[in-house]
Amino acid sequence: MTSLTYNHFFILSLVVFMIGCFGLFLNRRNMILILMCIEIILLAANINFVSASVFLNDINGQVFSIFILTIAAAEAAIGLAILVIYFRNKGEIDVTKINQLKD
Amino acid sequence: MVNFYLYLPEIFILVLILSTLTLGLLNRDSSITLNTIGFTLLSIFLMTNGYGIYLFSGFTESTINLVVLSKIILSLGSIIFILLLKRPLKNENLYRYEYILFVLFATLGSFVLISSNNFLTAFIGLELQSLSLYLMAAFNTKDLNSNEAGIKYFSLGALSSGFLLFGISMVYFDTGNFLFQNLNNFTYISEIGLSLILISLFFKVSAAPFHIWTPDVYEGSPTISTLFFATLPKFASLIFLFRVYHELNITDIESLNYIFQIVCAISLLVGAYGAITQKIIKRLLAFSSINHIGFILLGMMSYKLMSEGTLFFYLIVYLITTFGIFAVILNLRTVEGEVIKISDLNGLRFTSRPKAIALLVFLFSLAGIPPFAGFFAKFFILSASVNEGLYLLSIIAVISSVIAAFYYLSVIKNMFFNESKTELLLDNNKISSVVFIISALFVTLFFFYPDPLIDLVDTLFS
Repeated sequence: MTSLTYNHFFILSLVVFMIGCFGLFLNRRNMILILMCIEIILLAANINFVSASVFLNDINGQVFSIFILTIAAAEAAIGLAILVIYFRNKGEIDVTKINQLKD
Repeated sequence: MVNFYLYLPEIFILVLILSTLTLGLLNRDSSITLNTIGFTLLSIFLMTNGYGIYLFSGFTESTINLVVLSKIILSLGSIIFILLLKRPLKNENLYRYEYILFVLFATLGSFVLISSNNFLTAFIGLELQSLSLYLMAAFNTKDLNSNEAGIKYFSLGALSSGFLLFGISMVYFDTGNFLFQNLNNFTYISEIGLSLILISLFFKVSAAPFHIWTPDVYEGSPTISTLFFATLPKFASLIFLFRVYHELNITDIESLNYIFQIVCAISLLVGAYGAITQKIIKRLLAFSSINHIGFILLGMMSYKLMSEGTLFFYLIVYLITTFGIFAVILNLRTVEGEVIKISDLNGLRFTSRPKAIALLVFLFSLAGIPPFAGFFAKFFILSASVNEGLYLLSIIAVISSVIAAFYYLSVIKNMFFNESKTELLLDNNKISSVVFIISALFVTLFFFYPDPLIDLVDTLFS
């Protein structure tokens, strides 16, 4: 029986990071999904920090992950606020229609 | 024990923010006065006592000089910006006291970012800065363009901070440390991590393959916010990028050095070619700033022989010229509102000769035409990079600045030789007039009287 090593967690976080990135680029419709994908990317970094901190026996990584959680919350709040004012003017949040500014 | 003396400038700004929060509710104008006085005191304190603050910080001497000088420049820039912001916001019916708060938070973030000694504080500073910038981009809540700029800036900016975090976590796994001075002996894992960190920083300074947001955000946001994006936060991110490059010895890591060179070359070319077809002033300035970022990256790569002074000189000239250009643009209005298209500037010579001449001086300086300060900035960087042996990049830089001269000159042609179709109104704003006159004088007189700035840069970095 093999035990869990750091590499397993690293691959997990890499997979979660990839899911977030691909979700961001492949999603052609909804702005809310973009916000969710950004959160997923931040959480992938969190997984990496916490597992590295456990395996290195160093508390700093966990401190960092708590900071990330608070900042991610602030970021989501600001993103939603901007989205709400956009919706108020435009009436929809379709990503493909956000194209007023271009050459 | 925590040494609070080290955080004195940041604590001071925090006190300013809290007092603005309470005072601003009663009287918006008084918060402008308060912050002007506050930042004046802060810059005087940093000028007289700045070196002493960081004596026991563990920084090397050149880093202390860099940090103190960039903090002085940031606080002086904030004074000018806070004085400038009232009239343009009033014209757009946006004069609310939250705007000053966002400026203050972004400045606080820049201060934290510049003097950060590990990736945790750097991340927090960068986020504090960019969260305020997203809000400043979307500040005109009634205008769809401004909202769209906010959404674009937010979604791409948040993606880039995700990259930054993942990069930091990989470096942390590899070395078990965030502190810059303890980061060495990199394996391939932290090289990947560092390249992610660099990508995110390139995004923040809008270097070329990561510049997609820049023209849209510059165009959509209120002009006064665009001025802010183009100057102070970008300056802070560049200083931090320089510190990362310098203190983590990225020159020794071959793969990262390649990334740096490629990004520099692409920035120079994209900045030159992208602007040719633009018809909107702010988009043109966005591409011009991408081109200048290319020059600055070239200066970063060749700092060894010429010391940081070269780079710093370029940054100062770029900041002053950008402030001047935007001060002129903020001083003009058409019948419909802000000056947007380049063709709106037609016949500026007949409407207001001083403004036309000032804009001419700034554009010549950005293009690098000899008697103006911009020429010397480009000249120093190019001679440093040739000495360093970066021949290909220097050739690309020269070619790109020749192409860039074309579109700067076409704006000048519009101002001086075209008849105006729409009527230009003058928004006689005393403060922005003073700002552009002083900047134009600086850019012109540097040729005749270069000693003060050269001496300043020399004594600080020798």
